[in-house]
Parts: sequence; structure tokens; C-alpha cells
Amino acid sequence: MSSLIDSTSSIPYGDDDGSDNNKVTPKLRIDPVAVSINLRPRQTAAAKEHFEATTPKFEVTKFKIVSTLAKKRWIQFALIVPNQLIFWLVIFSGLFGTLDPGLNFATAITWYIWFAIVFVLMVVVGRAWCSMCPFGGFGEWIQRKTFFQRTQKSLGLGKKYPQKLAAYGLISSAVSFIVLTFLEEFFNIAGPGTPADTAFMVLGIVLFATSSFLIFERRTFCRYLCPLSGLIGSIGAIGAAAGFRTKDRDVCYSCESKACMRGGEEGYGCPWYTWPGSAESNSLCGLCTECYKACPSSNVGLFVQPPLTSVIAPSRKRMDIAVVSAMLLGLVVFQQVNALNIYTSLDNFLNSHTPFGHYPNVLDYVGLIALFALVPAALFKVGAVAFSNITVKADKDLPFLERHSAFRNFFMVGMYGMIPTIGADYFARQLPKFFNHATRIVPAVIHPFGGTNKFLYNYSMLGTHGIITVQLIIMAVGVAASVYTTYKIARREIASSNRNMATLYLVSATLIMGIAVALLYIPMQAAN
Amino acid sequence: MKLFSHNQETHTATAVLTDRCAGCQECLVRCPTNAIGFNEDSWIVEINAELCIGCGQCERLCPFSAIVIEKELSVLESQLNRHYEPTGSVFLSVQETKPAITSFDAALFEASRCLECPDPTCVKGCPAHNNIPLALKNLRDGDIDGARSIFQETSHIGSICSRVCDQKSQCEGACSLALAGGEAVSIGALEKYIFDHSNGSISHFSETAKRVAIIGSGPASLGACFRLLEAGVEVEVFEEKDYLGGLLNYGMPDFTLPFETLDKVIEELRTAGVTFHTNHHVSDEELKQLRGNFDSVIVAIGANLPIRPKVDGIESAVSIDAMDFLVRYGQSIRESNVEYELYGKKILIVGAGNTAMDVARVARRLGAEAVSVEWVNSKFAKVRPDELEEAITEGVDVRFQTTLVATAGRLATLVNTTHDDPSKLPSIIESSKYTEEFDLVVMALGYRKGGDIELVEPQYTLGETPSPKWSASGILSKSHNHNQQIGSTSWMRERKTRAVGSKDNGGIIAVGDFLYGPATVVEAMASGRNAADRIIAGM
Ligand code: SF4
Ligand code: SF4
Ligand code: SF4
Ligand code: SF4
Ligand code: SF4
Ligand code: SF4
Repeated sequence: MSSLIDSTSSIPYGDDDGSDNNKVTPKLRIDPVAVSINLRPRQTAAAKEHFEATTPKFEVTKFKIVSTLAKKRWIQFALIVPNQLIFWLVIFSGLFGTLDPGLNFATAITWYIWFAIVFVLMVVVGRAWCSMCPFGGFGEWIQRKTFFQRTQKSLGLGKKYPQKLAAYGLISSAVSFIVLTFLEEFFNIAGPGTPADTAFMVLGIVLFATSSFLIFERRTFCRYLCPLSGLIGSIGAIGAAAGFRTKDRDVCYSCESKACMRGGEEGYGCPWYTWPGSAESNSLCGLCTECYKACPSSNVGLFVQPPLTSVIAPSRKRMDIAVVSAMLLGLVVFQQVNALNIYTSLDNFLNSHTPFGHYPNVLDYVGLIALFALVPAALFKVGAVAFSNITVKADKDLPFLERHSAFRNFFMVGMYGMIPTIGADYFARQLPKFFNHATRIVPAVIHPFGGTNKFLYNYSMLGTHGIITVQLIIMAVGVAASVYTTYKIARREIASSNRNMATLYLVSATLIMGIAVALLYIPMQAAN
Repeated sequence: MKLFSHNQETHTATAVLTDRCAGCQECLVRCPTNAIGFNEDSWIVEINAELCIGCGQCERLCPFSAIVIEKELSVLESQLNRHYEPTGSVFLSVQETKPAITSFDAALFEASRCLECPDPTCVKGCPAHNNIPLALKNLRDGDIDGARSIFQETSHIGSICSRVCDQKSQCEGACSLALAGGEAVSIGALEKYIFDHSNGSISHFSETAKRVAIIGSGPASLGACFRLLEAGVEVEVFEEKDYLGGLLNYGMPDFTLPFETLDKVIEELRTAGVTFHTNHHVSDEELKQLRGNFDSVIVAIGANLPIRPKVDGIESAVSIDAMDFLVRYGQSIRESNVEYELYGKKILIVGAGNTAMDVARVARRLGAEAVSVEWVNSKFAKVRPDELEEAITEGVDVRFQTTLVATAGRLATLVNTTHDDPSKLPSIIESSKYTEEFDLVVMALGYRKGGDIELVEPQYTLGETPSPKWSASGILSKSHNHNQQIGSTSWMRERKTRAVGSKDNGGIIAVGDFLYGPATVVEAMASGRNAADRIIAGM
């Protein structure tokens, strides 16, 4: 490593060599710091194989307009501001506007429209929402003490997220999603109920987010605590946005600055703890453009990929994402079931026989979510017992994400495979609210100004049968995608001497579960 | 190899946060013990807890805080006795007071504590960027001359720096072991040992007919001299005093830097062909002439205008500036030509910085009682802790939060202060005034730059953001070390030593303390060297 400096690019310390007086003849000039550095070799031999399947080909930042915008420091600010305005309006209107949830801007936008948009964005682009999220944006402005400039000093304690929790990756985010959903149901916020409750919920999230930004470093909130992060991180993997990735991995290996991680002159170090040099899915790239700005070698680009790539292709499947998927499945099936009469009877029964006397009863809420989440786990366990004749030694000493077992092998393949079904399920469940009430946004907007529009208030874009049909179509697409995904992953990753049978089993399990949740939409009768 | 290892008995843990590790291998390439391996399946790193000695460099440098090292540093314990105990009376003593390595075996042992870090932070802490791990490796191989030649690639005056450097805030403060909360490798003592037990040589790498004049003969000048000689340049030095070495001479008392050590360095230069002119003051006028006669002129006249306190009646007191005191009495100790003039006298030293400590300790060596007063809180004082401790051991009465407000003849009025906020000046407690008699008042508040050569501003400075080489090593992160700012302090020094002041299109180059105010010896040396580098490159 140590040698005389023989190229101007390595003249020490980013010396200002602009002026003629400052010219240095490289031959004579030795950078003593560089001479003393004697790094061990990197291990990159396996890189090609490891990243081949996930390396996206199509770079969006090749287009001048995209690259110019992505380089601008204000770009994320510009994306956040409209959402920021809307959400302050939601708080304001929720607190001071009309009590009719159907006519209040807060409830109308949040529950009829916003949710649907987030889901579409998620399924199509991955973490697009994260790049414009007003909650993260607000916290980050305060943490960085600026709206969009690159500053060197930050506000807050800058703590690291506790190691023990961080070891479980996105799971804490899924837990906070389940808690938030419980609160929504308990206070009937999403019903939607009293607009003020929606305002309080939004304010609560702002408070939670901002305080997390002040306690922890970077976007610890977004990665670990935000209720939506686990959802977007797992289901968003369907999306066609690959996120920001390296253009030439070798340049990254020899890169001295790692400015995309540490922060450089023009950009912050990745707030999401994602290195473009090793990202192999879109799950943990918040599309914030910081690495794109920071990289001194212009070695980062925004890429798109065929849908499902980030579900199927990554060499490293993450146990946390598999678990999060199971939890999300449990939650969405619970929400389907709770629209059925049988659930109401169960809830009433529990409410009168347990200390919790309010819908939804904590016991059935947690119990049913767990039950529905354990169904796939049980099915994959059976698969593992039946087909895995390869003994994988479980090592309890390893951290959660790195342990291996036959069960994990089947569970991870299966749960990754279920991701499209779960995504479709969340989307389908949201549709009745959208189709029945999305048009209420017009009366809600004109209401404060004295306007009324009875027609749009009561207008429903689709009848009950129409909605069920659309729901079933969406589910069919999701289940089909799941079958395909499971097949692709299982072919490659199942550790079994009888790979064909194991694959067949997994695909059937996915198919059966998919059909079961899809069919639930018929008795639900397009309930909200 | 384990990703996670936790030892129940010792409560130690080395862990890779598998969720966040991005497999960038920045840690792996820098681990001194090769304890970090790579898991190609998960594309993350793993730590071999048995090989890991807990230096914590990986934890400090990981951009994503994905490594946790909770482990006692397990390296050999230093056997160097750092505790200063004067043997017998200090009266007239010129014995060196800093810890020293006295045998080759001891040197080997201390050198073997060095981990030979692949990305050594000590090198960044040393303003000269001496290649410490490589020099110590040579020493371990028994090659003392080789070790010295490694030092000489960046500094020829190691015999001096090793004695006067504040290692705790430089090389040793930045040593990985210190950053991990342990005892640093005793780099200073080893450097002294190496230079004292070997002979220097100047290796020429080019020949030229160029001539350079240097004004001043302090450390910046010496740094430039050696570098210019290496390039075959003819050098003439102009010194206004009748002695050479600038503040290295009487400014550093003989118990810190023995005169023979400095003299040896100057003789080395003289033998190599440098012409020294003493008693030669260069005015702004003559500077222009020199500019015509030489290819370049380096102005390295230091910062030696004393700062004087504003005290009522100071004219009526018997007072003297610190530098005058050090020259006059340093001379009498050195020449063993002791007039018992100060014996039994009581001396008031205004200030308790490093210069004040030198004054007080010289006074103690001449049998005087020394009282040093400093109005700031001891917590915020700009004095080296080791110097302060040594001075107190030698019987100096150091009074912080005390200041001199008035003198009348031999009577000094002192007053206490309150000082709790380092960003504010101390405030005087009027009611606490008291008077005391002193035979002599020495003003030792430090120096500022000035003189009759027009001051120039630093140019060609580095940016404020530390270079990637610095941040990648982890030196900038907060560490277990008490000296948490070692990284940014070092980078600030780097910016100073790499700046040069230039006027007249580069023909006259200002360096060292003259350029940016008082700094350390090794910084001034590095600054002179850097100017020489620029001159050589411009040829
Ligand atoms: S800064 Fe650029 S080249 Fe360096 S690691 Fe990051 S993306 Fe790669
Ligand atoms: S810095 Fe780059 S990799 Fe990290 S979240 Fe932002 S865009 Fe994605
Ligand atoms: S420096 Fe940090 S992120 Fe990079 S390989 Fe090491 S532990 Fe992982
Ligand atoms: S603490 Fe030091 S020895 Fe241990 S793994 Fe980290 S760099 Fe290597
Ligand atoms: S010159 Fe000073 S700072 Fe540098 S290695 Fe020697 S003693 Fe340490
Ligand atoms: S002296 Fe300290 S920092 Fe330098 S190489 Fe040795 S152990 Fe590492």
C-alpha cells in the first residue's frame, strides 16, 4: 500500500491544488499518513456471485432531469413539504373542524385516500412514501437543524438503537404497527370516528417520531420504530424501484471515503444504514438521495428492477422480514375476520368474561393475530419435518438474524413467498373505504367554506358486488405472484434432497393459504 | 469465528450487529490482530473473540455503529515508570525529568506492546506523522539505525521532539491503546531511546544549485533546513540572537532539553553545510534584499513578543519577562557560573502555563521560593498536566484562581477569582484581596507574534472537513479516552502545519509560530518542513 504518491488524485488530504502557487510535484511529495497505512486485503471474491441476481440494470439517474433533481439538496424537502402541509391541515382540521368524520378533511383524507395511496406507492415503488414522509421529515429537520442543507452538527443525543432490539431488525416496527392498529380499533379512529381522534393520532406519531429523532442517531426511528417501516420494508419489496445502488462495486471496495456511509461534503451518510455497495434489496433504502449526493466518485445511481426482484433474488434472506410478514398476515386476517359476525360474538363473550371490557378485546386481538400468524409457521414446520433430511445444526449462540435450522429454511422461503399475497390482502381490505367514500374528499374540502355536495358525499364508485369482484381479482393476482415467487425461491434455496417435493409442498401451502384469505372477502361483503 | 460472543464470567462481549453490518469491511482491513473475518453468505463480518484484544478500533470506525466491543484491553502492561520522583534536591540539577527507557531490553519490551495497527491512529496524532509502527518494528528487529531512519523520513529532530512533545495530546493520546482507555505505547520514550542510541545522516535525493535563506533558527527553521539539505539546496540561516535554536535553546530549560541534544542537531546541520549567522537581525528592508540574493526566503522568526499583564504599579516593581529570565538564569545554570543572586529569594510568577512552570522550576533550581498565580480555574488551565505535577513535586507553589492586581515596590496585591465557565473570563472577588512580599516578579503569560517583519496571513490551508484518511481510521469518533477530542485537535493541528503564508508570489514564505501564533515545537518543525517541500516542488 505504502508508496510515493504518484498520481495527482491521491495527493494527500484533499489538498487544495487549485492555484498554481500550490502545485506540488507528486514525485517528491510524500503523504506520510498514507505511507503509514497498510490495510489488510478485502475479501471480495464472492461478490459477483452474491450480487449477480439482484444487480439492477436500468438506471433512472441516467436521465439528465432525474440526476439534476436528485443532486439538489432541496429535493427531499420539496417532496416532504406538500405532505407536511396536508398533515398539519389534518391536525388542525381534526381538532377544530366539523365533527362529521365523513365531512372532515382530517378523516376523509387520512382514511379514504392517504392509506390507499401509500399502498399503491408501496407496491409499485417500495419506499417512495419514506422519501416524502412528513413524520420522518419533521424529525430530521430538527435533528439536522436545517430544512435541507448539509450541516456538520446535529441536535439531540445521537444514541445508538439498543443492540438487543436492533438484533431483531424490523420486528420492533411491526410490533408498533400492531399496537397502532389496536389503538385505531379501540378508539375507532380509522372507522373513521371522531376527527379529533385522528388529529390526536397524527400528533402522537409526530411526537413519537420527533422524540426518537432527538434520542437516536440518523433515521433510527424510520428503520426500527416507525409503524409503517416493517410493512413497507417487507411488502414494498414487490416494488419496481431497486433504490439507490452502486454502479461499479469495485470502485466501492477501493473507495477510501465511504462518504455514502460516513457522510461527505454534499450529502449525509445513509440515514437508513444502507450501503449502496452491498444493498441487494429495496427494503432498507429510504430513497432519500443522500448517498447519491455524497459519493465523491459519482458511483451511485437510482435503479429500477422487474417487480418482485427484491423478494425473489436477494442471496441473503432476512429472518426479521419473514417474521414481520407472518405478523402482518396475522393482523390483516384478523381485520378480515373482525368484519364477520362470528367475531362480534367472540369479542362480546370475551368482553363480558375478562377484565378487558372494550372492543377489541386485547385477548382476542393478540390471540387471533398470533393464531393467524402461526398457521403459516405451522405449515412450514410440517414441511421442514417432512422434507428436510439435511440436518442444519441450530446454533443458539448466533444472533437472531444469523441462526440456521431446517424450520427457518422452510419458513423463510415460505414467508418471502407469501409477501405478494399479504400485500394484495392489505390493498384489497382498504378498497371498500376507497371506493365507497374517496369522493367525500370534495365535500370535505369545500365544507369549511360553506360548500356542500350531497351527491359526492354519498357517491360510491362501485357497488358491493363490484368491490368484492375487484378484491377477488386483486387477491388472485397476489396469490398467483406468491405461487411464482415461492417456486422461484424454493428451487434455489430449499435445503432438501427432495427439492421437487419440498417445492411442491411449499407452493401448495402458499396457494391454499392464499385462497383461504381471498375467500374471506366473500362473507365480508365489502365491509369497511 | 463468532458473530456474537459473550463471556458470562468476565462480562465481555464482542458482537457484530447483523442487522446493520453492511459488509463494507472497513473494520476487517484495519483490525490489528486479524480477528475480523468475513461471512460470504450473509455478507457481514464476524469477530474471532479469541484473537480480539479489545482495542476497539473497529467499533470506533464502523460507519454504521454495527460493532460492539465490550472487553478489557488485553495487551502487555507497560513497565515504564512514569512517576516523577526527583532524586535528592533539585538545587542546580540539570537531570532530565521525563520518564526514560534505560536499557535495550526495556525498549524491546515497550516496543512489543505496539500492535502495528494497519491504519495507525498514532501517526495522525503526531504532527510530524512519524511512521511509528514501522519504526518500532525496526526496533523490535534490533535495527536501531533503521528505526531512526524511519523517523527521519518525517523528522530529523526526534531527539528534541521526543523530549519536548506533549505526547499525551499527540502520538500517545491518539494511540489505539489510549483510545481504548488503556496505557498508550510510550512512543516518546522510545523515540528518545532510538535517537540517543543512533547517529543521524542526511540522505540526499537530488542536487540543485538553488539557495534558500531562513530567518530564525528555531524548530520551524530546523525542520526546513533538513528537508532542504536533502534536496541539495544551499541554506543560510540568519539568527538575531547570539545563540542558535530559538526557543529550543534557553526557552527549554536543560532539565527538559539538555543543551547537548540541541547542540548535536545544530552541529549536524553545520557539518552538512548550513551557514549560520548569529547576531544578525533581518529587518523588513533587508528581507527584500535577501529575496533578491536567494531563490526563496523562509521567515521562521516565531512568536516571541511577550504578553504583559496590566497591573497597577508594575513599573515600580522589580519585574522581568519570562524569556529574559530563562536566558539569564538558564545560562548561569548551564555554565555553572552560579551567582547566588536568587538564593532564598521569593519570586512571583504571573501565569501558570508551560512557560511559567519552566520559570518556576529554574527558580527552584537556584534556591528560590516560587509562587505562580493564574486567574483561571485549574480545570481550564492551559498547562500540561505532567509539567504541572512535576513543578508541584519540586516545591512550586501554584495558585489557580488567583491573580496579581497591583504592586508597590516589593509588595504585591493578590486577589482570588471565581471561574466556573471556560467560555467566560474569571471574575475577581474584591473581598479576597491580600498582600505578600516578593523579591522579583516574572511575567509569564506567554507570547504573541509580531516584530518588524510585516505579518502575513496563512494561505493554502486545508478544508475544515477532515480528509477521508482521517475519518476512516476512527480517530475522530468519541472514545473511552479522557481526551475525547484527540481527532479533531489533531486535524486542527494538521491544518496549521500544512498552511504557509506567502507574499510576493511565493518568494517569501512565512511558517511556524510567526504565521499562526504560538504552537508546539513539532508543529513548527512540520510547518517548516512543509514550506521546504513546497519550495522543492516549485523547482
Ligand atoms: S462513496 Fe461512492 S464509491 Fe464510495 S463506497 Fe459509497 S457509493 Fe461506493
Ligand atoms: S442514503 Fe442512499 S441508500 Fe441510504 S436511504 Fe438514502 S438513498 Fe437509500
Ligand atoms: S465497518 Fe461496520 S458495516 Fe462495515 S463491515 Fe465492519 S461492522 Fe460491518
Ligand atoms: S477490537 Fe481491535 S482487535 Fe478486536 S476486532 Fe476490533 S479491531 Fe480487531
Ligand atoms: S514527534 Fe512528538 S508527537 Fe511525534 S512521535 Fe515523536 S514524540 Fe510523538
Ligand atoms: S503505537 Fe499505538 S496506534 Fe500506533 S501502531 Fe502501535 S498500537 Fe497502534
